[in-house]
Amino acid sequence: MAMTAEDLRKLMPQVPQPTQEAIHIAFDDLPFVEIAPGAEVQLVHVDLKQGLWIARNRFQPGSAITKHYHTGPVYAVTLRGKWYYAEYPDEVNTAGSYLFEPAGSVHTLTIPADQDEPTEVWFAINGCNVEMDENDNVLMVVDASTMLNGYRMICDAQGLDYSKLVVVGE
Amino acid sequence: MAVTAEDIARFLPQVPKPTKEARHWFFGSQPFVEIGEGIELQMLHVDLDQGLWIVRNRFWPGAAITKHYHTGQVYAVTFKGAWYYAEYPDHVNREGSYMYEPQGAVHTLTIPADQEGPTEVWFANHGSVVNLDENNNVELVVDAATMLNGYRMLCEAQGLDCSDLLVVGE
Repeated sequence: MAMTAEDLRKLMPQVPQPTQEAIHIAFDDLPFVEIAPGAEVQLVHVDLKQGLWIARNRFQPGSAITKHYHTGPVYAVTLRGKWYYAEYPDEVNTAGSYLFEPAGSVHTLTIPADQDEPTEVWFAINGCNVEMDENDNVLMVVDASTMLNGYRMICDAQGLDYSKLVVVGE
Repeated sequence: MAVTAEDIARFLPQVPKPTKEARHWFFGSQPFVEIGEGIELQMLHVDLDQGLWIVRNRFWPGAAITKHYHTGQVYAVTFKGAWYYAEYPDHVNREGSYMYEPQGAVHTLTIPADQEGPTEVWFANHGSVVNLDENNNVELVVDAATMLNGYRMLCEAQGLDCSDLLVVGE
């Protein structure tokens, strides 16, 4: 039997029913927890099936994050304050900056010591974070589920409510 | 011949050479062009192989974007001002907000009319935008290539330099 035009139309993409809503997470909807001296993280969205985690970070002046690279692309949007990678200190991210990190770029996140306010940055991170020592030996590998488990553990230990965290694929 | 531990070590992931750098865009590093009444767009990064485009938008008070949905996921980070979707006006995005739009969420982006100054938002858009009329008929489908061509055309017509654009897959 030949397919009619009406049969074909049924197979065309359909406009979704408005049951799916966008999910809004205001800046103070989830707790920030300290993960290293002067470095706090607020996990907002984890997709375990994509290996993706999305977090806001707050860094105090003079703080730094161990040299690392990511096995997937990273998108960084700066809300406040300044930061740069020690490997190319002239490229300073400020409020409104967007930074794209291709998979495999190696860097040491650094916050200027002479700044009066904290730096706040939103990151979407795909793949794993591979931390290295000064001789480029691998120290640690962290992925989306490590981040999720770690964030929950720290929040639980401190009695903090993280019920607004979006978790896909659990 | 047996495979030695040294042979296997050569196939393990290698720490990347520091030749790949992250790419940074200041807020003012690309021109904003008007794409609708009170709606300006600044394109930063297009990946045609992934169907991804990343932009900053500036919206003026009272502006609105035609009802639409995306065939992929969208991430939105707000720098300044307020905005909401007319379908759920209680979820107001403000400075520092993160919004996750699962694919297929239907919405009408709205800027409060009584706000002083513009709203500025960073968006990462996957897939296509499908614009709808009031009866949910499809009016227009826009993808990463459409956005790229449109942005370049508008910049060229106005003599604006948009060479800081990162285009992958062209």
